[in-house]
Amino acid sequence: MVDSAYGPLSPFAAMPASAGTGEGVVAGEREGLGIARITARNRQLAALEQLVHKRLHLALPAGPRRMRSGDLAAAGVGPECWLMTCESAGNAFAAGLRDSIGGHAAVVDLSDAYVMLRLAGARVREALAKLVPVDLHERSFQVDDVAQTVAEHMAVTLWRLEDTGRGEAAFELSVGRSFAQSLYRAVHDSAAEFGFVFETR
Amino acid sequence: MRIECPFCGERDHSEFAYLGDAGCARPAPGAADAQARFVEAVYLRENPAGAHRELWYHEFGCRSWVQVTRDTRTHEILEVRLAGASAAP
Repeated sequence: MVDSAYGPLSPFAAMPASAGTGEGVVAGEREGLGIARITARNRQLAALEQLVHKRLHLALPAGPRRMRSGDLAAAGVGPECWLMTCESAGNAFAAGLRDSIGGHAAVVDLSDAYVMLRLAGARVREALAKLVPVDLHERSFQVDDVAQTVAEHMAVTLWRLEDTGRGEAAFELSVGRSFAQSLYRAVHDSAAEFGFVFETR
Repeated sequence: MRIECPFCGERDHSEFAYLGDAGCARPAPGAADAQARFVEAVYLRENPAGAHRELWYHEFGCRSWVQVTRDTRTHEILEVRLAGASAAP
């Protein structure tokens, strides 16, 4: 073996990149994302909120909502518990968080544990309606709303992004990495009738 | 049956796992009549036709334990609150 540099391998590399005709649903993988779950330590919620606000310039949302600040975002995924993401930060993100807020929160690095798909398109709601038992209508599920639910027996976390430049809805879905291909297959099959395209960078 | 999760909002009961009676306190293991009390706590449960307080786990949601008051005749959900230390007794 001459190649000693092992790079990350997308779980979607071997999956069919399109289905049907058209581009009703366009998918892409969110790569290089730093992902960490933070949980307030016992009776330290107020102190954690203050610290996060001071050091990360982010107000932790109280319910299933997502707050963004630059490359950073925090999604409420349970009482006193958030899923934080940072663009292109990888595993260093959780390590940095542990240094800055670890006194008031348990920080778990999930960058390699979760896979995240970004879905957008004119028919994305119709495709997702077949997968998740949550009302994703634009009035019911607004930008930065967060839901943890189940899609084909897989626990998924999803949130709504700002609409695309073409005014189409956009969402991000994450599952445990070992479910990545199952989720992809579910989305692929659900979106096939609307035209499904997976874009690689 | 749909359960109004205090964190996630209204969700189908299939997202939850059922544990059972929420009013069942663990007896003191050191008490003289501990065995009789454990038999009562483990096996001899009320089976009310009406309001029943029970514990559910929102496994496919926010992973919180919730205390649900459910009418066992109609499955009407009368009250849902977070279980655990932060919840009122």
